[in-house]
Amino acid sequence: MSNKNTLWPLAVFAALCFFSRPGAADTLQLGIYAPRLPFPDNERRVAWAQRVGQLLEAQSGLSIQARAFTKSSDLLAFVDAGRIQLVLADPVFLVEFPHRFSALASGTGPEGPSPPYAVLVPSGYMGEGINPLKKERLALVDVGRLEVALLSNLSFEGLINVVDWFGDIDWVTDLSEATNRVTTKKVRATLGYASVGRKSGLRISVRLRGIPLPMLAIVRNHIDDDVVTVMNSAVDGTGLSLPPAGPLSRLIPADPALLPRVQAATARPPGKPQPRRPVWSPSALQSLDRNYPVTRRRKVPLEPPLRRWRRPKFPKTGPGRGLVSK
Amino acid sequence: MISRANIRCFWLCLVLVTSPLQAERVEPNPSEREYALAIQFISQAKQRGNMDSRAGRAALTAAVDHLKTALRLDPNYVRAAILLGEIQLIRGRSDAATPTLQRLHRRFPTDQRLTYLLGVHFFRLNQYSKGAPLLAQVIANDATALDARVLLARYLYRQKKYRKSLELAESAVALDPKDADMFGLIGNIHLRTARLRNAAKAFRRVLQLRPTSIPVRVNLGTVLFRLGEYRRASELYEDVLAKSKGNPALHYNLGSCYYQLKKWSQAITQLSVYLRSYDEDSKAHYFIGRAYAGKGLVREATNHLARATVLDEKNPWAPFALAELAYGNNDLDTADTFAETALQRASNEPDILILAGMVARERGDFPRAVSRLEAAIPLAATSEIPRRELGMTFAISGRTNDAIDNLEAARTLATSDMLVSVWLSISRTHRALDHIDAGRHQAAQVDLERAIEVNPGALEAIWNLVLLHNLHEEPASALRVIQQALGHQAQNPDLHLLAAWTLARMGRMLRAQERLKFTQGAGDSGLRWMIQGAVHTYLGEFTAARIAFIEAKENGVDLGSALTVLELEQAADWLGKGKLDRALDLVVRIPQNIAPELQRVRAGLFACALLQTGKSLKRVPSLLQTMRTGPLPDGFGLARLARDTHLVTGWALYRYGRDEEAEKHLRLHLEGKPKDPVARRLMATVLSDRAERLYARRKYVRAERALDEAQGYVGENPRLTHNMAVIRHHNNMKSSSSVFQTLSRSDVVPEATLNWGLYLEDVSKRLNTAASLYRRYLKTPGIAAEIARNRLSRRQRVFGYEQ
Repeated sequence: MSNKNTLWPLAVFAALCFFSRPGAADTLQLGIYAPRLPFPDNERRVAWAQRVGQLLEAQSGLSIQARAFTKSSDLLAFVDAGRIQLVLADPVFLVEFPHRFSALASGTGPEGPSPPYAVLVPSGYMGEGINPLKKERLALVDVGRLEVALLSNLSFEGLINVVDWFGDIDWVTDLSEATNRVTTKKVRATLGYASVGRKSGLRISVRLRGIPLPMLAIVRNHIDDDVVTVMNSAVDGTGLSLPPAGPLSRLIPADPALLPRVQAATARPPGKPQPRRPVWSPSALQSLDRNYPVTRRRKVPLEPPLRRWRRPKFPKTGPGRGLVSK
Repeated sequence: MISRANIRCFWLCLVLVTSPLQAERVEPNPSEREYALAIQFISQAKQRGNMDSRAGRAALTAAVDHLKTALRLDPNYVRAAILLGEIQLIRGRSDAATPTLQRLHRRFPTDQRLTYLLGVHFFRLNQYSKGAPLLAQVIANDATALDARVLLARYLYRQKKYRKSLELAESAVALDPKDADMFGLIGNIHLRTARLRNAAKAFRRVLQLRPTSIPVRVNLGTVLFRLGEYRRASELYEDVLAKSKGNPALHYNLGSCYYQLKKWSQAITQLSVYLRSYDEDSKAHYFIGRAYAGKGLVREATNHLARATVLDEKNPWAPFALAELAYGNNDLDTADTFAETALQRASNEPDILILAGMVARERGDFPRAVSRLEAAIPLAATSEIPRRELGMTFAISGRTNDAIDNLEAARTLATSDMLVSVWLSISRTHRALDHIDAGRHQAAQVDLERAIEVNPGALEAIWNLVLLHNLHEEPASALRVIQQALGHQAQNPDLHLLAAWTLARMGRMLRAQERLKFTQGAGDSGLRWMIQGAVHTYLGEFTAARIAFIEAKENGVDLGSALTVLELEQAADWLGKGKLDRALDLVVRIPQNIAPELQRVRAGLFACALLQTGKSLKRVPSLLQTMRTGPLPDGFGLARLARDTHLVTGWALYRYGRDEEAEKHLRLHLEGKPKDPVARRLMATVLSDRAERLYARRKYVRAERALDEAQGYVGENPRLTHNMAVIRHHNNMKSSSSVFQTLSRSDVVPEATLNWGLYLEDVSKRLNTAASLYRRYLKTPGIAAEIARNRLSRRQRVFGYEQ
């Protein structure tokens, strides 16, 4: 967390922007906290945030004002102050305060809602896997206190504890800074979305399990149900296109399993995988093992009496029969 | 009457009596001299021809005078009185002789000669009542008294005391076997007493002794006629007529013989001759009329019979004959008129009553017919005819029971009357059919058996009895009836047809086929086609069988389910030969609106076809359900499937994942066959699958219970043991991993190796060991290979090399 102080001008700017907006009480305030998305500078981050707010506003018909945050604590302060009703935030932030937010939509993009993560190394680095990186310096985005557990248990699937495996860790405010540090060889590697690393000219050393993109959530008890309905309908159906930012390009209805998965991963100590449930040994498809040979009976039932009774006729009487002999 | 022969006898006696007198040596007294002189004149008379000449008659008169003188001299001179009596007998002067003879008979009653002579004179004087005792006295005392026997026999014959007369005549012919007259008398006595054969014998004896005797020939002819020996009688009459023409009666007799011999033309000729002399003889007209009728000359016959009817207004037979003639010509009104006329003349003649009844019956007047025929029955109690005709009348008028009663009575009287047998058989058959219609099969059988008994050739009765036996499913009895009938009419095609049908019903198809060869010309071609269809089916010639059945149907045979059975047979045949698709197509085509029993067979065959082809097993349970709705007919080999319907249903449902229903059917099967290993294995599998589903839903307790039950069916089973460990893994990883480890030593349960590897990797962090297990698992046909593959590739991907 040594670079936290470098972001304070951004926070001040954001705060000024917030307080300068007239009629704030009628406008929904959207706080955006997405440190894993790559922005070259804060200005572009704010601009992107505003465009997101405009899109949401246009789509929902509500008055929405977006505000970008670079520190989770700032966002939390705004939330605590009741000045933020909507957030578009990293899932780690959301699961850190599970009772305060309710997810409305999941961020997604060409690689899905959980784009693959990766160990990103400088382009000239030739090592494969994390073994060569053991005890090497690492840059990580400071998303929240659960980030280590998330990376160890979700991305590395519990194979390692990131903190134990690597050497010193440089905590940075966003992924751009992390990649910059790798590029400038201040660190040996960083962990981030593989696609972002590729665009940044880094090499993907290890492909890891994906980490969910930011999610749109409401701040519980700070928003009317009608508004929730409107927001839901805004992202319903085919979703809502966002201005692209790294792997994020759309909002879609929230995947209810997404946060629990993140939550489960972050709940365990880092490097401690959830033991897989044993695999059931299925029964083989049983054959009947019994034949039922059919035989021809060779017999047609001739049913009696066929209604073919014969009624005899009496012989002729009278002259033709002959006379009574005297 | 004294015949010439008797007189000759007297002369002989006279000679014998007088001869000893001529040997006397004692000087005669005056009366004896007169007696001697009488003897001399008797000798002269004999020499001069006795009564045949005047001199003879004069000599006899002189002898009489001398004998009268002698009797005057000695009134008790018996010899003179006897001689005088004998001469007076010659002279025909019995009136003159009897006083003297009576006087001396009173004085000498035991004198045989005197008694005999007096008896003879009384007979001469027609005082038979006085003479007969005297002759009887002589016969009683003298076994050789021939003349007395002859005289008395003739007298008694005239008195119609035939028995006594016959005794005397027979004793006479014993004394004189050549006495033709006495044989003639014997013949006549027999003729009068209707002992015709004895009469004929006596007359033949007469003709031996006296071959030219025409009266005896005539008599013999009469006897032979009455004996019914018409040909011999006619020969006699022809012989007599050849020798003695001109007697019309002989023509009548001869005509009667020809009539009886049905020589109509000759009878007409002879009777015509007779009628030229006796045109008023109604009998002659009657016979000639009937002769004309016999010859077919109705007009002449009618003329003569009508004349006979008019000539003798009391005789019923001429109108009877006219009635018969009209009846024969189908002129029923005329027949009825004459029959009633005959009845008016003789109301108690059974033949007339019978004819009147028959005529009334033919006119449809059944009450009058019955009345007439019933009246005839007591009058002809020993004849079957009135009962037969009455029975026939009842039969025609629909009173079958009365018909049978009367025909049975008639048959009792005349077993050989074919008309009775035929009518009785038919009436019984009719009643049997009525019984059958009313469902009284036992009574029908009795009637039919009796019908056949009285007329073994009664085809309809045989036919119906065979059908009845078949109806009762008694083919052996039916066959017995047919065999008995064939004993009477071995070539009858209908009987062979019945035999073929019965044999076919008994399943003896080859024998039925053999019998079919003899059914050419049988009356029921439909039945023949039916049998051919059955035989073709038996031989597996299904196309031919189908054609035969269709022919049978077109000939009016109710095929029942034969065509359906044929198709089922063919389907079974194809199934047995492995032509499964063809069998399946055929079974599908069989319509479902068939008899329930055949529906079950169809369902069974359909199910077998599906089971063998493996197609549409989804349909099998419903087919087997149809199969279970009732009993199956024998054959088709479906009994085993029928026993296993719940098992097969359970299996089919299991195959389609309908485990709950499968389990239900398997339980039903196991209730009946708790030890059936196939069923137990299937049941364990179904329960294991249920446990798997419960495990997937994390219903561990219920899953464990299901698996426990499965183990109860198949005992210790590695897979079930493994899966039980899988269920228990959530709360006791160590124990279950121990099971996985144990089972992983063999490949019986491949998943045990995988699970052991997962445990080692996830819990024990022994990645390398786990990896070797994953690789081993990949070599086995484990269906969760993807898991092992993922684990191995992940390791490779993340670490870059194997740990």
